[in-house]
Amino acid sequence: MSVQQIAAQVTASAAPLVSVEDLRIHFATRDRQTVKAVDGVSFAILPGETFGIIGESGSGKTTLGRALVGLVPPTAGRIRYGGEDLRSLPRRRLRQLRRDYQIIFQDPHAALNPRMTILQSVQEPLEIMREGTPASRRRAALEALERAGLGPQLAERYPHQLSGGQKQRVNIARVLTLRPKFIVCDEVVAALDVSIRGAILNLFAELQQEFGITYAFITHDISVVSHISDRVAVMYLGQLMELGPTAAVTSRPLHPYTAALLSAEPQPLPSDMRTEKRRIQLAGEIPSPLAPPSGCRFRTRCPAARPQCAEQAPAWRELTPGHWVACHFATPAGAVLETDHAMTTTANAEERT
Amino acid sequence: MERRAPTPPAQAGAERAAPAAQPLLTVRDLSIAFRHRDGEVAITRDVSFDILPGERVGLVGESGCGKTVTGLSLLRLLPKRSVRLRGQILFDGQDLIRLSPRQLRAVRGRDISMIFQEPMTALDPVFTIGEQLSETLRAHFDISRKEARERAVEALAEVGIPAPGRRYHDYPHQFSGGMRQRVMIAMALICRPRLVIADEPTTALDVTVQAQIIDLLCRLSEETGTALLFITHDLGVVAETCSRMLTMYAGEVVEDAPTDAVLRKPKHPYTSGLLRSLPSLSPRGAPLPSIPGRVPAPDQMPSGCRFYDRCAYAMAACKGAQPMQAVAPGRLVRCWRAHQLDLPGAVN
Repeated sequence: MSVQQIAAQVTASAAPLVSVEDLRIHFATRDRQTVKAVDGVSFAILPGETFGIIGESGSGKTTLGRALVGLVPPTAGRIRYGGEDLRSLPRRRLRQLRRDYQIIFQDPHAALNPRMTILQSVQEPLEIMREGTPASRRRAALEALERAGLGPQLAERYPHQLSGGQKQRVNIARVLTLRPKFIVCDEVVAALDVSIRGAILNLFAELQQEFGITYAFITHDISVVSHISDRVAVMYLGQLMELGPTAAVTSRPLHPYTAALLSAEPQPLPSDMRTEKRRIQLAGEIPSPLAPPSGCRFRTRCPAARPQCAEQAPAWRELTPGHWVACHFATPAGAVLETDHAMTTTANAEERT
Repeated sequence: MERRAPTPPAQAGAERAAPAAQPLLTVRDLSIAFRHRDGEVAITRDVSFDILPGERVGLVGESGCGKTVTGLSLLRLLPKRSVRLRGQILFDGQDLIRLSPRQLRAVRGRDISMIFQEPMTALDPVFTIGEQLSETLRAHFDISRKEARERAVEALAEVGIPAPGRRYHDYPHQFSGGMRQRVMIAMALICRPRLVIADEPTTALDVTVQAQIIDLLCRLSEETGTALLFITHDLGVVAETCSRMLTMYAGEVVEDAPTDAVLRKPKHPYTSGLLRSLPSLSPRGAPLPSIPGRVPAPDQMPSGCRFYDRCAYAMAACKGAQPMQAVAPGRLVRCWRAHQLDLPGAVN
């Protein structure tokens, strides 16, 4: 079965767990300007999948992640959970719903209260939910720690006595106690050393299998996102540039930005095995979200930008089944990487793994 | 302990360094200890390596392995009161460990300079970047303000800063992260040093900007013949920039070899484990390999192999002292089993 067929099946088979409709999140600055951190984003996350969100700093990926669990209110647009819009719900129902939608943050140390023991931290969500008795909460917390790979001997310790990897396991255990349906993972391995990243990513995969958890996996690291995600959304300056099945996005990107991101990733391979001249050089850095470029937001750094890109924002279109892109010139064969009409596309550039 | 015969770097800058070239920097048995109330904690033990003129060497390892401390010690940037250095740091025949503060100032910034991870904290916020660049020049050369200014503007142009004449008058906060790192590079190279120590220079940057900075550093080091000690945890960055790679673990260098050779066939189980942990090298959806356990605390370091507790190939004899041994020309490994083991690398 081709990737496209799988994608079509996925789109057809299930009602989304979370659907985001033309979401906008704007912040006012002190001098009355507006930062459009998220500016018109639509996608749906399906039950049981890992939905990767990739972007550079300033792309709005963290704001989007926080909005997905209701930590930032939308300025416009909607986020629906199993069909329900959080904003229209009474507080009591919102509280109930919230336990199903959890978030784990990047810095495992900052996310733990230094004056609480590990056990206290892990029990706290259950206390807030007023669930069970003190004894049953303790049992549930120890079970969750165990499942996250931490023995009971660590339960009475304080965060500073644990390593970074262990602390991230505590954060995982803490959300596990609530048996959530959906977890936003915001750069959860970025602060960890390479040698333990694998173990934490494996744990996420196991928990998904065991409990059917759905993830939104936010990261700047392409190698992580392409390893763990079923589908990937590529974000740039508050908007989605591309969205599709991971294998399709990483092997044949449709957007020049995705192609540039992939080619910028340093390859840990001997010199003769690295693709020569593979690098698509992007000029400059991500522009300020206070004054995003007109038309296509990526055009100021795009190697294939043409006059049309400044005048007209590209439509968000489904180029092949399940594979969406916001670029005027993308074809099903891949992204257009040069301005001339010779059409250097990602299709005839050497394919990556 | 055996010493490595210097190998020529395999990259483009190699032609300058003849195979028999004298090392520019020779570090021998460098041990760094931090003093505290009840004694000392050893941070690194017997670190030895050479850097040839124009060579780019990667120093890799995970957080806490001692790579940053080693980099700082080369310029004697660690606080003197709380740190004890033993061993030799020979640069151009003089031992940096024995230099007086005045002699050291002549070396810093002039012969050896440094690029830090976070350019915002490394630049002074109350001076324009132009003033900071000129100051570096005027500290080492007897030149006029006007001349220093001209050279500073040139240096900014060289690292790709648009409108350098105008940007000369800007303060660090007026630059973006990538542009600040370009300023740092301009400052590090403005006196045409022979060695630049770059400590995680791209870690705080986005991947597309990282690609620009890596290319810039490599191009400048080739054009000016400047040697580079590139300290990083990112094996992809080392693969793309350095011809030789030193792997550190728990305060020791455990492997010293040409980068391509290590990526193909690592000789130390730790290096192999690090490479295999990279998500890009595992098929999608398959469990990722990782290294179990954690680095021993500095005050509980075993006397034998420091990787013993975490190593899948450990045997009783590994508890004995592990000197660096040559396993091939230009390859040193701190593992007595290196000859017996066939370890997986980045290429399968």
